[in-house]
Amino acid sequence: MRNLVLAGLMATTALDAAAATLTLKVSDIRKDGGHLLITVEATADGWNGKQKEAARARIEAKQGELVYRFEDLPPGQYAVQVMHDENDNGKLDSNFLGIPSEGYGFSNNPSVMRRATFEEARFELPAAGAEIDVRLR
Amino acid sequence: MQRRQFLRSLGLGVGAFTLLPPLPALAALGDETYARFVAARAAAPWLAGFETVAEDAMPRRAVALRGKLPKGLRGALFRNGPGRFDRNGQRYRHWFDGDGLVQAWRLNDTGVTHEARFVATHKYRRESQAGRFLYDAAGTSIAGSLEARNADDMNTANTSVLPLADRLYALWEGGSAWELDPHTLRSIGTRIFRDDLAAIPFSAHPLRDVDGSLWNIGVMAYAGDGTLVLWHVGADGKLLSATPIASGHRGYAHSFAISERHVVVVLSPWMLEREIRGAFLESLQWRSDQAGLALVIDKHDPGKVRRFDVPAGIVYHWAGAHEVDGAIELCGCWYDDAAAVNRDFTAVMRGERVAGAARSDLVTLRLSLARGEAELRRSGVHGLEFPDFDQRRHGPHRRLYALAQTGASVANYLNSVVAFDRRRERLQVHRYGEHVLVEEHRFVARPGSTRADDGWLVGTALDAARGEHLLAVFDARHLDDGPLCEARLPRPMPLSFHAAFAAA
Repeated sequence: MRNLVLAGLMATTALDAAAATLTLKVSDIRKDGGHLLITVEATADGWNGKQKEAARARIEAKQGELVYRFEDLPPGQYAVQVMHDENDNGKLDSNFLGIPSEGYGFSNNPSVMRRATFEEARFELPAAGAEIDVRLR
Repeated sequence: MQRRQFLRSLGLGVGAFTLLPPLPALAALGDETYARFVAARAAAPWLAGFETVAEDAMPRRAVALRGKLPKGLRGALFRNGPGRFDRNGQRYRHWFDGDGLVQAWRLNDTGVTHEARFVATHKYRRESQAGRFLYDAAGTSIAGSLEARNADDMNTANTSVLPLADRLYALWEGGSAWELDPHTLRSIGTRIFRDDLAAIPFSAHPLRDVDGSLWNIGVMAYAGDGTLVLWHVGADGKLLSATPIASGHRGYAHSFAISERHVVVVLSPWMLEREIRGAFLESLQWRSDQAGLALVIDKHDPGKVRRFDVPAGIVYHWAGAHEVDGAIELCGCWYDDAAAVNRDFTAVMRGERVAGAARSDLVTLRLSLARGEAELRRSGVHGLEFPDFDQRRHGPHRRLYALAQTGASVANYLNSVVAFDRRRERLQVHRYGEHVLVEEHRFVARPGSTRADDGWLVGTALDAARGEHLLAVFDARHLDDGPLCEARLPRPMPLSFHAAFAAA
């Protein structure tokens, strides 16, 4: 009986080590309509489009705030980018210089008038999980 | 210009900038500015010219008219300028920061009316809701500011107005034209000429060509190594072309000039030398050791651009250009030091008289197409600003209208309107007086007349002694006869920058 309990405890601990929950609050969504496209990247290469993302989500956008949870992420460093695809054309509309006309935001909400770098958006996700805020511009 | 994938690139020429460490928290200088202004205001009625209008709108009201409106002068004089400088006890540090307050003085058979309304920009609506400033302004960094999606989040739409094809626009050089209803002044939204041009700057000084089409520029020192867009819009308000030009110069331009065949843009060495943080103007450095750059663009083939080094100096307001003897000559109000001029714009926000260290020189900049050289000729006529001229024909323009300060002024500010005959080198002056702060006057052609300078000069001014705001009409050829008529609003308005007349 004691061995079964111990085995159960050890099994639980092993699961926690692999599965951290990232709770993402997206705020300042300016209007209803379209979808939020969320990407979670674990590396600079991923951030720069050279590698597949660690996780992604597409959720219906509502004016104001939304909360979304990514579960089962390995603990480590991540950077999150959120785009509000207001017209559902699958991309972040922008002008010819690449400056967006739809809403977007990055983890850490860095004060930069350009796309954040991976380093600027990077945060730590510990085994116990984390809550982060991304404010949409 | 290759379309950039914003998501994949590091952004706009970031490689050209050094990524700076975060700036230390900025002192709450806005509050000190507010305290000083309030303290100075009680004893200085002229400071009404820099005082916040607290209401969203001023309804249309009839104003007292002395004299008669000239036959043929009917329509609206639209004006724009900063009208909201304070929120929540915090005051902007720079005159250019205030939110755009558009005014209409309407000239009818029954008399004259006045009305005003703030442009309901994104920034104005959000800050009104929050009860405080949220976005960094051109001359003021705001603690805890929100990041802007693009230039239009910060657009104050506060510099000029453009009536075009039965529509009206409020202009601000950092972003889009903002469309207004010309009858109610209510805001409609940003004017997006084409989706890939959203939030691309549309300057506050578009120029009407003799064929009725409109040219404009958008200066983006932060894009690439310095980029300019040349806009061409039809008389019907529809986009004809938008041409990006890689200037390779991170200098500043407020206005430009057109000649028969060319568009000329002069970038001053007021350089963007780092990534923009906080107030845009604080990211500019005056580089008197560097050359300005004149770009001469062929109207019919905007890909053809000639480049000229020009002396270090700044012209906010060019007053026309023409082609002569294988050269292009531009006329403008020149300053040798942009930083000195800029300091005057912060003094008034604290309630101080304008220092007036910087007085313009009326210059001719001659660009020799044959020799590829620029020559600056100083006329020795000092202190003119807000120039205007009869734009129905290409130059040379014999008559230049402008503002000046003559004699005493309580504010050490412009108090007179002048007409300069360039051929005879003679000045006609109407001095409003020591207690009057004068605003841009516009030439309005007499309907049906094609004679040069046949028409009126129409403008406004703040009368600080009487606590009133006036509109005056002059015969453009006989300025020194004084106003033909004058309308008075029984309250002063904050000074506006630029005006445009829309004939009825």
